[in-house]
Amino acid sequence: MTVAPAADGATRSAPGWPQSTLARVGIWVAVGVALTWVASRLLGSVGEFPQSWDVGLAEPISDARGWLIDNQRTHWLYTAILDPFSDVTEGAIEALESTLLWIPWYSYVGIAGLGLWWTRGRAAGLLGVAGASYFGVLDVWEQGLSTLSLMGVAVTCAVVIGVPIGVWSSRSDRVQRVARPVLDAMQTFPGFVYLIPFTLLFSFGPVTSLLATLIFALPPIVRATDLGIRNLPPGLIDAAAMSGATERQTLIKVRFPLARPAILVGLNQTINMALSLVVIAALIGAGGLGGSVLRALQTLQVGAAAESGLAIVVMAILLDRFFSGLADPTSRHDPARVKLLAIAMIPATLVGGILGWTTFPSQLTWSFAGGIDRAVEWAQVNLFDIADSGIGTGPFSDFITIRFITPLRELFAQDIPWPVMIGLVAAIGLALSGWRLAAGLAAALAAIGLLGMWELSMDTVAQCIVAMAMTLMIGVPVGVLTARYDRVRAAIRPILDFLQTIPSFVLLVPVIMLFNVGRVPGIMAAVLYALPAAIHYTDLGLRGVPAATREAATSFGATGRQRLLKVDLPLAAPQIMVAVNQTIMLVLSMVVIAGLVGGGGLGLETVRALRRSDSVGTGFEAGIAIVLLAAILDRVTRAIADRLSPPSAAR
Amino acid sequence: MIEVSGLWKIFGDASAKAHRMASDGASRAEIQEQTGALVAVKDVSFSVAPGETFVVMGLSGSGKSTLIRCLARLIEPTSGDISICGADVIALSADGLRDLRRHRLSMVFQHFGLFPHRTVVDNVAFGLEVRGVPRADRRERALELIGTVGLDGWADHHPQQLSGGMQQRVGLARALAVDPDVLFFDEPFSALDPLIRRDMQDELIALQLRMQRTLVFITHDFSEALRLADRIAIMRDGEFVQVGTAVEIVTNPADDYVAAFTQDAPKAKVLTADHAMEPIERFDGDVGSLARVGRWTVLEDFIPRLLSTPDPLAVAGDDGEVIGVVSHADVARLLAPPARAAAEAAPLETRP
Amino acid sequence: MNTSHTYKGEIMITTGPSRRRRGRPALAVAFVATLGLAAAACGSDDDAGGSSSSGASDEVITLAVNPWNGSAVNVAVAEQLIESEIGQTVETVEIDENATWPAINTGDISAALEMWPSGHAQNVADFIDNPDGNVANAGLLGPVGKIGWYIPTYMVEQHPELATWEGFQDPELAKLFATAETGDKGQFLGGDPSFVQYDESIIANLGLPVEVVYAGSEEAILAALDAAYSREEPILVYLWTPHSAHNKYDLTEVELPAYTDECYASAADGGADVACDYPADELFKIVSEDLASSSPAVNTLLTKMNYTTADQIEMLAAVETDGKSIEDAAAAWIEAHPDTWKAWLP
Repeated sequence: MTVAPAADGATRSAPGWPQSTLARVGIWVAVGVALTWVASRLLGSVGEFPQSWDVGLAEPISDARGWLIDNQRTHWLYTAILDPFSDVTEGAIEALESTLLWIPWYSYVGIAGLGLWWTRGRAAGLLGVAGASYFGVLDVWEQGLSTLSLMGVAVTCAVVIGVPIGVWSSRSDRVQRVARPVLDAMQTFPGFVYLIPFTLLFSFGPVTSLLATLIFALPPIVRATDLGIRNLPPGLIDAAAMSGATERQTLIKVRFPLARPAILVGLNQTINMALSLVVIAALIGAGGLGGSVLRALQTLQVGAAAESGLAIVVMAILLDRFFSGLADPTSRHDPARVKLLAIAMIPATLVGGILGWTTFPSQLTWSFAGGIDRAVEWAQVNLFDIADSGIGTGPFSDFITIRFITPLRELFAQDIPWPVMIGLVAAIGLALSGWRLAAGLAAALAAIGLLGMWELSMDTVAQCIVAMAMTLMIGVPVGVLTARYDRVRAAIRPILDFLQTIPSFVLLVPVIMLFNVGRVPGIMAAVLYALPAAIHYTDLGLRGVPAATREAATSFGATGRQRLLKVDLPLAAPQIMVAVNQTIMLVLSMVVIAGLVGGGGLGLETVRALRRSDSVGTGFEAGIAIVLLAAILDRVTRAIADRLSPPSAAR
Repeated sequence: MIEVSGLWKIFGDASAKAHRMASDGASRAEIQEQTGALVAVKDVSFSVAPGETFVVMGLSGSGKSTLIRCLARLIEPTSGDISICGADVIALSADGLRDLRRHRLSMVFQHFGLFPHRTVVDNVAFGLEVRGVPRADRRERALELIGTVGLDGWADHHPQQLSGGMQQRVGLARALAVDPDVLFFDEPFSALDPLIRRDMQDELIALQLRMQRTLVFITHDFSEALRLADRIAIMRDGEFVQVGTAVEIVTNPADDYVAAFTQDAPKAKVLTADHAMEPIERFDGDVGSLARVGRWTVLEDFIPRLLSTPDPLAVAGDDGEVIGVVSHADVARLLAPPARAAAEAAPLETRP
Repeated sequence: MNTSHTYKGEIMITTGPSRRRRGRPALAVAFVATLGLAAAACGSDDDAGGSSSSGASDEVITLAVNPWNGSAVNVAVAEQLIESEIGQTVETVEIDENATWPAINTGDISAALEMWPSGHAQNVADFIDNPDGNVANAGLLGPVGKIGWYIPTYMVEQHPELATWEGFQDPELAKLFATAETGDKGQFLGGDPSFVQYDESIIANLGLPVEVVYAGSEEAILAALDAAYSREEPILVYLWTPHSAHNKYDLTEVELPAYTDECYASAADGGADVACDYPADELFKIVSEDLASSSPAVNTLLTKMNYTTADQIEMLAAVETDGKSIEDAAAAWIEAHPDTWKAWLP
């Protein structure tokens, strides 16, 4: 282990520090602009992407839809495969749901309490009891169980499919190379877009929701299994080999149990993802809590929507705390007592189930929807333009639209000729990494144009940039504060949890009421959604700065400010770029939602496709354009993060 | 028991070219510069007799860890021959290799390599488990070994609940559980505190006295090598610079590199009266009145006695006959560092 | 079942359709089967006459509830009549109207009772006109819907010119409706992208200083309307009638040039030349073609079912203003109008 430096570690020139990077990027960009400008002059086509180049997926997809309609009742694909499959899955979901409904309510309170007590201690146990009771108190018990059962089946499928794929991918670099981009795409493809093809295949109902959820939720568990198995301390695998264990024995007795915490972390993420999509799947009839949220929103009952939305948050938080506690095998509390109580719960559950004590006592219900409704009403009247002073949400919205979004959109979509845009992006790729990245970026951008999505994409990009800038302007300073003061961190943690798990469309109606229909509400929703990630990664990066380095800076007499600017932030820069990267991904995933509140761009096309049977094709194109945009922005920010990393120590 | 000849390990794609360059005498740095390949083990040959403790000592980057991994075929050697217990390790099939590891060969790792998800007893029994020994039998055997390494009562704890020294005892017990003929130790004690390290070394010495296995022991600690070894190989840049007994190396370092290690070596623990004495022929006093000391007694053990009198000590041969005399001056000459090195070191050391 | 207030919209809501579709029907089927056995045991002379005259069968009828109250009351009326007059079990599924078509095509759903023709030209072509399709047009429901441009009535009170489209020709008046998105022009808040909308053509062809901004969803229109209304601000939106928003806000429809067929000649090709008001939408019903053979009595009832806009509004008002449940409103209507529904019976 002392004698195996990576072969390329020593030969490759050390990556530069920010200053030299910026200079190089500047030169390359200038060269790129010049070249592409000349090229675009010669081509004579400036401005919009030529429409005649549109390759159009819309038509073949619409044709496919026609075929499906004609053959839906007779073709073997349906009668022999899809229909039986659909029946079996539906049966499983229903069986689970009716089982869950049979279990008496207090058992859930007990399970949540004991589970969290066992994995995280007594305080968490109380949280579990309170959380599970919330569903009963707010009378969303059945919806909650419906969501839980759909999610349960989806997550089970994800584990059954995902873990073997993860194992396979961990054992073979080739499989991993193939799997990685597929997983990336699966995660970036807006959840909405999945729903479209599946509604065509299975018309409606839980199967469609299940499949869409499955695809969305699969990547984390595959990745976690792969990473967990790959990243074991090498000594342990050597130890197993030296004991004469076979590959299989090593896998089962060593790799797998050791990867268990990592896999559980992945499972936790999978559950989170599944939950978020199960909620969106309410749009295609998954019902449950998402359905309650949507139905309330359709009549502008923000309070009722918030009650159901909060139930989703509570479910997410309970599951998250439990599974992240489970992933840490050293964290077990009072196992003897918990076990005793758990055993005692079995007869209690059976008795209650047989006697039909399933529903939460109705005397205990309570609602806070009215209060929220009044607050929202007050806010939409009083915060829009406070005392006609020109300060308030309305003028703010106008300011953002006029000063930032509209000029940016015009710049990208009209002022910069498309070949120049492609050239620019390629030049950035070249400067950051090399020809490969440059070619990839240019190809992806050109493909967006060929799909006929150029203008819409540029609109979306403009919105993303504004949203990202706002997120970082708020998120990074807050991250600096949380990194420095534990108390601030503890104080905002529940807010962040809330923002991250509240179904994004719960925010839509209040956001529209405060910011007018248009691009700003979508952006505000995106900012709220992406803020937790920005804060988290900034915090992580700053906390990762070695104490010794900080002490060194202090010992040379640096002020707190100087230390922050000259030591902490540069060292945390790669992590902060991760924050940027995550922010972009989250903002992009809100694009579709923005389409629902007047954001236009690619989101509107996707929404149209979901809602309107004859525009499935364009919706699909818009979905692909979103994925391509995500890929471009992801690769660029990751390349910048690589650049910002200090040269790794030569071993 | 172990025969190694012409063993090479070259990391990187251009191994053939690197091999040629190395054979032509190019340095490791030159080869890496020109080919990108790293010569980690360069033409190493040695043999280890049954029951012998063979210690490979080298600094980090010397290739010693790669060497032992090649011997165990955790890494595939580039070329060379290895024979362990009569088996041609290089030619072994996967099954054959597994069989060798299951029955005849064990290894103790630098960072213990214990499975955190298994209890101590399950860790120790792992080799038996993969070999297919029934549960009750392997537990019994494992408990026995846990007792042997002094961990009675810890069997059902998890390794991370144990101190570092205790963890390595578990590692040792695990290696011994399969009753191997050959044990490899890859810097097993380097992660431990000095005092614990000493204890573990003593423990190993005691165990080896009882069990008489064949040991290959890797270390970067010269004094550890001196304590444990029957023979020591000093390794540098992938090559064996010198192979010999502790005394041979201390008294007769092959070059300056080896000499640098021996300088600070605890010679008093290695050298014996035999090395220090003047032959009896050169002594003209009355041997009969002198206190006696055995010929193979290490300096450490008789210096107190020597210092308690102004007289020298008489050295007795294997048959009890006095064969020489050792005086204060003799001992001082052996232990004092070379004058030149001392003079150079002094000014630096006096500055705070 | 559907006690929530929903509007005509495109989002499908299903509150655990699966449970309803499986759990209860199984019981219901058993129940009906038992009854059938009992009937058969009682007298065989009824056998031939009974089944042929009523056309009843064991089949469970599944009706689609699309997510607006009009659809829900239609279904509630049909459900109660089928169960009491024909004796077949009915279950309902809350589902998006576009998803309804393939579901009826496969026979998973038996019928949907309120389709707006302007939004379903493609579906009609794919599922009804297509010889491979399995969906039949079951005739008109009766009520007539209409899409239009709406502004709050307080705007008309302040600027009476705004009651007609000519008022919007005045840049100063149009500018009242301007937002940051539209700059100097007035903003027209368009709807869900799936709605039938010719507003861009109408605006262009009438030469109005107005720009369309798509709200993206019905909720967004309503939220914007609610916000503007609460602050008494100008707003111009795409909306339709019947819609429960008219119960909540005092809105005035902006008069556009009257609808003509010529004006809509280009509608099939995207409607670039449209320069007049939206046509009236005669709401129609669709059924699965299988229904005629499997449950002829139900098929007949659903096909004959037809009432007036006033009938529907009577129930909607009971639900939306008096807070009655859908079921109660339907039951009250059935109680009060036997003459109307008796005509639908087979």
